[in-house]
Amino acid sequence: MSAITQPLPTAGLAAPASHAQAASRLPWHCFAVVLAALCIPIGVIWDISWHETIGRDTFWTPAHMMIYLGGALPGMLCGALVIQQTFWPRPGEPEALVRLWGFRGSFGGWVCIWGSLAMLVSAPFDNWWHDAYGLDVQILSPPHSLLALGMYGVAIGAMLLILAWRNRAEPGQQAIANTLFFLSCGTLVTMVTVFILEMTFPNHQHGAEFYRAVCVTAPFFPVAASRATGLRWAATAAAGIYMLIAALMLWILPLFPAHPMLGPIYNPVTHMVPEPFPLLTVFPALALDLLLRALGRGRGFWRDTALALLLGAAFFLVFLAVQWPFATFQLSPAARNPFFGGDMMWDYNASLGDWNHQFWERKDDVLTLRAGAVAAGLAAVQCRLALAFGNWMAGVKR
Amino acid sequence: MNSHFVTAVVAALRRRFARGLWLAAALLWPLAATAHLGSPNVFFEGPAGPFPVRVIIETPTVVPGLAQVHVRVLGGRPEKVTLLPVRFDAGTKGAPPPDVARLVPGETNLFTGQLWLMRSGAYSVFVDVTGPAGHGTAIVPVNAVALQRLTMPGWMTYVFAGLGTLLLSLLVSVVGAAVREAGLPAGTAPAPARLRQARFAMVGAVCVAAAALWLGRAWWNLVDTDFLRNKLYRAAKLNLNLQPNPDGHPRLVLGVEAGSGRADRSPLMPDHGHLLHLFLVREPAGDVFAHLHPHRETGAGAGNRFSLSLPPLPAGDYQAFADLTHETGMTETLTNRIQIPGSAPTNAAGPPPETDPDDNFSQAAPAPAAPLALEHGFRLTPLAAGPFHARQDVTLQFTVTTEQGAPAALEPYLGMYGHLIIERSDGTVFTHLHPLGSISMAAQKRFAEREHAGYLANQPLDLLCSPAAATLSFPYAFPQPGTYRVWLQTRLAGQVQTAAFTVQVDP
Repeated sequence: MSAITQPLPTAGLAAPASHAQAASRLPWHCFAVVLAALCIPIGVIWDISWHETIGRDTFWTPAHMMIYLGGALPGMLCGALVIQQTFWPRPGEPEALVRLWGFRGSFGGWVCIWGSLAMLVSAPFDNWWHDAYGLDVQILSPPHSLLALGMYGVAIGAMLLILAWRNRAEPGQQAIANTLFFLSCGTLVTMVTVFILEMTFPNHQHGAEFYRAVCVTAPFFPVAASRATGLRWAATAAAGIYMLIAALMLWILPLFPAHPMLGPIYNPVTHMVPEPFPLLTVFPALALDLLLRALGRGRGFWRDTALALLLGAAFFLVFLAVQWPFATFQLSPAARNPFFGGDMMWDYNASLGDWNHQFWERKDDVLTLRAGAVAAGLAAVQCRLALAFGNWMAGVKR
Repeated sequence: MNSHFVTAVVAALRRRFARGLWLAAALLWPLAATAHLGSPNVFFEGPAGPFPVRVIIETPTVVPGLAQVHVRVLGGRPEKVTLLPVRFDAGTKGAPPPDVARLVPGETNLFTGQLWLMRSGAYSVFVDVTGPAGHGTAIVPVNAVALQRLTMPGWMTYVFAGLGTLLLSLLVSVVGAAVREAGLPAGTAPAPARLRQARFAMVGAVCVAAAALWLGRAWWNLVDTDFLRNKLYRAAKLNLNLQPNPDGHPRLVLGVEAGSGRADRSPLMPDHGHLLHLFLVREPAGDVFAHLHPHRETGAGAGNRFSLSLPPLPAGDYQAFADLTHETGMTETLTNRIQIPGSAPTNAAGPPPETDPDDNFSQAAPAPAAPLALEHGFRLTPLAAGPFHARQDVTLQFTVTTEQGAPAALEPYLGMYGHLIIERSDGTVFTHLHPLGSISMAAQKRFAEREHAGYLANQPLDLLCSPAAATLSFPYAFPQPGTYRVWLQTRLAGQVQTAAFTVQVDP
């Protein structure tokens, strides 16, 4: 990379001492953007619970407000910064920013703005979709996908904001940035896991589709985080933060009494319905960290490709080894308690029966050796992309 | 999510103009029909305990969707009106808390509210009225099915295309910036090679975005196809065949094939004592009208096959409409056309065909509404002759008098004192009304019986009967402009009498 850069004359760009001192502190907007992005998956999980419990909502439900906060605040904040940095820049600022359409801003900020804009555009699209096909009670739909892309945009933008600062900072100043970076990675892992929620109920977890869905989503950000920072337990931290967020939501939501406001009610729930216990991705993430620590020092296209194959296989095998028996446990009476939430995720519209405690086995969804290889292959592709993304992120400075 | 804001705004506007909506009440343009072809909204006029009420329900066009309910309490001093959506399989036990209908500003007896119908199938809206006179419930059956697939208006397409272009342009620019500048230390300008790489990356981003759009379009098409095939309501298919009969009178065989649209179809149940009500209208003049009741055939493989010996109808091309009610309370109107030859029935050598006692047909070209002489000296006078306007709430009233001008003693025919059949001249609208409205009495009864021991305990169950009176009133709103044919059927002196009129409905 350095071979294709041309250093500009730096005379006149030296920042005053106070500015240099300020630059050594993580800017406040980085905290605000990362925490706002964290509001998105929390708001989404809360909103899903709202729909499963109460059903009826308005524009102003607390869960919606949380999502709006997470979507709008980073976009508006970064937009305001772009205006300030373009028209009233501080000394030395223009040279450290990215130009786009005549404006200047930090790269992560631009990604945040794009994410907020995509979330905004998805709203009228989603409204039309409801008018055309009915109010959807599903997560996976084209307008929701655009909304999800926008959410990812905001969260990735937040992650890049932190990373750019971290990559410029001295090693001794990186501790807080590292924490925020892991938090933003965990936010992203939570988001992708929520997006595949409909395919990851415990009842699905002995089927091939479940493993494909997890392998195609879950390894990306942990691997990218590890490669981008080179930190020892980066992947484990990212997956662990996801598990913590999801588990806290599982434990906290059912503490609040609530009743369905829409019918038909086949399951008269009395408290907020949580999502199932989080996926045990922290264990394969631990394996990824160990492998990356042992084999991930070098770089190179073929080396990374071979490493990705190994990482993909390791992710799948370790995940299979822990999640398969855990799924059996989740469907057993032993898991029907507030900690594991084994029987708490059924919404007011579910007719309860034996099917709640059975694996939903389909003939075309058997986890055969071939299906397992496909899942591992998908994980490998994710890992390869994540390594490339991580390599690029390691160099982000603006 | 943000969509709920738009929904809330629309709801607020609806509330604001609810009074106008009532006056213009019917609401939606004709759509694919369920119980009433081209006239999906539900009209009910009857008692809610001590309170007479008129209820209009604008059914949602997609499910889950919002039904708009208007309740006018025609007597007593209502203090509170609540609305409860009850699905056939869940009953009131599985219903959510009722919604309190809002009194329309400036009105004393008009209430309005919205109800979510979350699953397709048969529902009933329980309208509870409370006042000094007590408390009562009216049950108004309603079908919840997807009736149309909205197409995106042109202006909206351009808006979304513009927003999409903006998003894609910004995305491609961001990708370019990612390669060009994001990794450079402060104060370093990108070298030409990096600029070249950025351009390649932008081209790649355009390709990826195009592929994503293509995949998105394919996904959208899949959803759309699934909606059209499996979720959009399509009435059951009505097959009509004429077969020779040993008695010389042709036998009409009707086959009912299941439709689609998640309508929760179940076995049929009798409404007004019959599983199927068949109406035949000779086209194009509408000068022959028959109301027949085929019997279901028995035996292996008969399924939903009905048949009857045709009465001696004149030859012609007939439009057939078949009304049926499922055990869930779901109602449907099926339609088809059939050519009936004239010679066989009228020249049949055998005895007159055995028909159901409730069968009848009449020959009279519908004429503009005016007093009409009936058989046995009775006289029928339309009280509301128009002009009518589309989507305007109207009461179609008729008085029946004797030769001496005294009120005639009406006798129930099929459980009601009057039946009003309305058909738009092009056949796109067909509905069957009673003084009670457009609801299926059988569906109403089914819901009432189920809740008798619970929700409706200690309440009078006089849900079905309208009082005998010489003036027949039918609540309705013509769904679209055009010329309509109206057939009024009532029983006088033991004989079913049919009067045919035309009605002009202006925009």
